Parts: sequence; C-alpha cells; structure tokens
Amino acid sequence: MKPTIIVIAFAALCVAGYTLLDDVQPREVARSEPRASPLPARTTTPAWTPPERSERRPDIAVEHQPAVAAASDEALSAGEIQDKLQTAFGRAALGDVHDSTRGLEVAIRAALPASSKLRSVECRGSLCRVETTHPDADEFRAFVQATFQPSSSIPSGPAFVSLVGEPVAGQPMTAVAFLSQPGTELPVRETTASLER
Amino acid sequence: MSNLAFKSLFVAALAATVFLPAAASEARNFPARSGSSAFHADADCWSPFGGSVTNTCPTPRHWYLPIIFDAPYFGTVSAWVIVEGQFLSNNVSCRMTASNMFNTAFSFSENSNLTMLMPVVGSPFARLHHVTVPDGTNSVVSVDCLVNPGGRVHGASH
Repeated sequence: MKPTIIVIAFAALCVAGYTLLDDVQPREVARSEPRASPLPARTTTPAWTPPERSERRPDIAVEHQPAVAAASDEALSAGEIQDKLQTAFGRAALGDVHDSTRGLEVAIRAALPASSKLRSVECRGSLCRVETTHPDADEFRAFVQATFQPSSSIPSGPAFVSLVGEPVAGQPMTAVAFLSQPGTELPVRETTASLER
Repeated sequence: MSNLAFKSLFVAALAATVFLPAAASEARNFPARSGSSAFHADADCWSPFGGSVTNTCPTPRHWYLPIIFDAPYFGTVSAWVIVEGQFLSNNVSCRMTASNMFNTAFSFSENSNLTMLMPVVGSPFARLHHVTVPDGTNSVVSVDCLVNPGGRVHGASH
C-alpha cells in the first residue's frame, strides 16, 4: 500500500471519528442527568430538576418526583439484583413493621392464584420482602400480573420479583418480591446505609 | 486513481462500522399508537388521534407500549410517559416494566397516577419512569397503562 493511501485512510478515520464522537458526547451527558443524584433521604424533600427534555416541551406538565439512585452501566443478572436487594433488606433498620406488613399481606393474598402459597411478608424501613411458592411458571406469571398491574391494590412503589433458582418442571417454584415504598427507589446499588433512614 | 478511490471508500466503510454502533443509540419517541391494547378483546375500545389513543369504552382498559433501547443497555433505564385526561375521571396510571426473555424476573417502576396532581388535569402530563433491567440485552422493556374512560395515552420517549 502506498504511503499516500495510508495518509488518506488515517485522515478519513480521524474525521469520521471526530464527527461521530462530537455528535455522541452531549447525548450521553443528557442521558445520565436524571440518574446522577444519590438516593434521597427519607426525611427531606428530594431535590429534582426536570431534565433538559422537559425544557424543550414547556407545554407539558412534568411531575415533581424524587431523584433516582445513581445508576451504572453495570450489567446485573436477575440473581445478582435479587442478591443485592436481599443484602440491602438484611441491613435495613426495622421500621413500622406491623402496619406495612399486615396491609401488604392482605393485598398479596387477594392477588395470589388458588394453588400458590404465601410463605412470608416482612417490611423493614422502606423495603418489603414477599416470598411465595407456585406450582408452575404460569401461576407465578399470573401472580405477577395480578400483583403489579396498574390497577392492583399493592403499594405503587418500584418493585422487583423473580423466581429463586432455575425452575424445574413438576417442582414448586419459589419467588421472592421486593417492594419499595412510593417515592423511593429499589436499593440495587446502595447496599449500605440507604435503607437505614 | 480509481484504485485510490476504492481504498478510501473501503476505509470510510470500515470507520463507519467502528463508530456507527456507538452513534446508533439515539433518543427515541414512541407514539402510543405503535403499541396495542393489552388484551385483544379490548381492541375496539380505542380511538386514535395522531399517535395518541383514547379509551372510548365505559370501563378502564389496559394499553401496552413496548420501548426500544438500543443494546447494550444495563443498570437503570429511564423513559418519559406522556398521558392526558380532561377530567379527574379520565385518570391514566402507568408503570414501566423490564423483564427477562424467560419471564421469570420482572422489574417495575413506580406506578404513576395522573390525577394525583390536580393541576395537570386537562393538559398533557409527562412523567419519568425508571426501571432496573434484569438481564441486560436479554430484557424487554414496556409501559403498561390502565386508562380510564376518556383517558388518553400520547406515548413515551427516552
């Protein structure tokens, strides 16, 4: 290959790279904005500024809402998310356990399919943990649909629910759900201190 | 000369292959009409206007709107959901969901509720939803809205 061609090729690469990177950079900053703030303390009004997208559409009302726990580009499997939530739940301070637990238990029982069973309901701080068993995956999915659809009577905060371990045909399946109070976020990244409020 | 042009084009194509995947992850708008009635039996309950849909049935109905994020996406993803109700009775509540491809793990955003805020009744209302993706690129993200009679879903964007 002639030196001229190499120079032209290098120049073309540089121009293409500069053009594309220049275009990409501002978008990445904008996307990270809503997630940058730490989990708000429970006793204070969470500070939140509508991101730049709302400024471009001033005619649309934007709800004031809490900041989101800092997100990362870390890829988490369902099992890893469940482990992190379990750790956070284990470290959480005991809050007003009785009322939250009793109210949630009633709502969960109402949504539970006939052949499924409720093993435990426990609330600590802003997080509740629900453990259920299901005869098969279809009942688990029916439970999820009945429990977390918008019309459900379950508290409307963020939630995560998954089967524990690999489902085995013919064997009962155990599912664990973590439910966070409205206005809070699931402590997927924050495993210390964030729930001890 | 033609050889030089060919090689330059080849290099340009190579550069595009290297850089375009990074540039392809653009913000996107999803009109509600690109979704569907969550249940086929309710298909006749929706009146479209532009990209929006309005529930014309006398009882609340569910609308499903898939959200596309360019892979790879990990951690928490966010999207605006825009709804509208002329009166308090036209409430629309929405929740963003991320699930793995096996439907054995589900992550839900907080459930937004239009009529929780009186001043927004009668005008489009945007709420940012966040959800933790359970299995990276093997996940599916969607918005599920329970739309009261007269409630309208405009769409979602990220």
